[in-house]
Amino acid sequence: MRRLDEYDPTLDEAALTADEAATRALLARWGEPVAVAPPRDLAVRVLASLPAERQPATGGPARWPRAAALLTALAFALWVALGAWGVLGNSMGPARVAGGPDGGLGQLLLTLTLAAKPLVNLLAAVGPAALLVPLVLGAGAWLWWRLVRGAPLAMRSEPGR
Amino acid sequence: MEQQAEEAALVRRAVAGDQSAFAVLVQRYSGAIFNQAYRMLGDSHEAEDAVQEVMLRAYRRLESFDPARRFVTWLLTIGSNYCIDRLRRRRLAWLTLDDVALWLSSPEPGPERVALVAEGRMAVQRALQALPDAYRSVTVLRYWHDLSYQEIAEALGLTEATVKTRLHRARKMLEAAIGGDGEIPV
Repeated sequence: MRRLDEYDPTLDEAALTADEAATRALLARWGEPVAVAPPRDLAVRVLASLPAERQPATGGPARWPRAAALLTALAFALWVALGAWGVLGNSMGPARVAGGPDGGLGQLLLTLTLAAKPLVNLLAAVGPAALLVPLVLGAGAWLWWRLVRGAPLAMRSEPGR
Repeated sequence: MEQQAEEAALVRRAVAGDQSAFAVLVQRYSGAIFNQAYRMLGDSHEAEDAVQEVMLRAYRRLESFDPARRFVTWLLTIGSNYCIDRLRRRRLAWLTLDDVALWLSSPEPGPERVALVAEGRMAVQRALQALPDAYRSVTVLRYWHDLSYQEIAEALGLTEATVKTRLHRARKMLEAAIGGDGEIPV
């Protein structure tokens, strides 16, 4: 949008006033601007579609899925990182940082590290090709979603039906 | 100013649960939102959907309405956001249901369409649709809704200078599209 909004040095107040008048004259030549008549029962239909009980938009439900997705992605990345630590270094490494494998947190980290190691080994063995599968699946799902969600269900017509 | 105070009172009543207060605002401004959406989207069915969606969003967000602003400006802001979002999605919809429903015959143009074409207004509508979305929104708000530069800037989250620049460029494009010898461009 930067190019569209590029500053025009010739645009001073006088030019703007002239612009305004020229545009209004141009539109007037074509009988515009005029208000297009909406369907007569539009307001009634809008009112009928409103919920009986007003539920203010809190932003909570809309924000939650995004936050949940971010948290899930972060947790997955951490899990894979633990696995990578176990494969490249020592499986006990993360547990030792948490005070050793005897403690509760240490045991949890050790379990997670050991559970992630097969995944890291698989990724290392198959290489970047393994990453293509979720990528293709994700792209396909996104494409399907955009096509279905954006497809207009109404036929085009003129106002004032 | 009196109307602004009256509308602020209506909003307060609606927030308190009085749906009849909001009904007054819907009756008053459905036409304005319909017009904005029709100019922006170029389709009356989509414009009707837009009115429903904009009014529903406004109804749910009444608490965020600032009584220092005009209610119609606030509604038009929601309308602009809706239309721009809708246009973005439309660009991504490469395959529409219309494209695959080849067996459906297109509806005959009604007398209103014929009248509009005859009067040249469709030419303006086409010229508007040919403008970039960013230019179209400022043009519609300025010339069809008579919003000030400041109100447009607030509504679209722009600076006044940007609004002026966009209006200036939009005028040049409109001039190129419909500023010829008065013949209706096809």
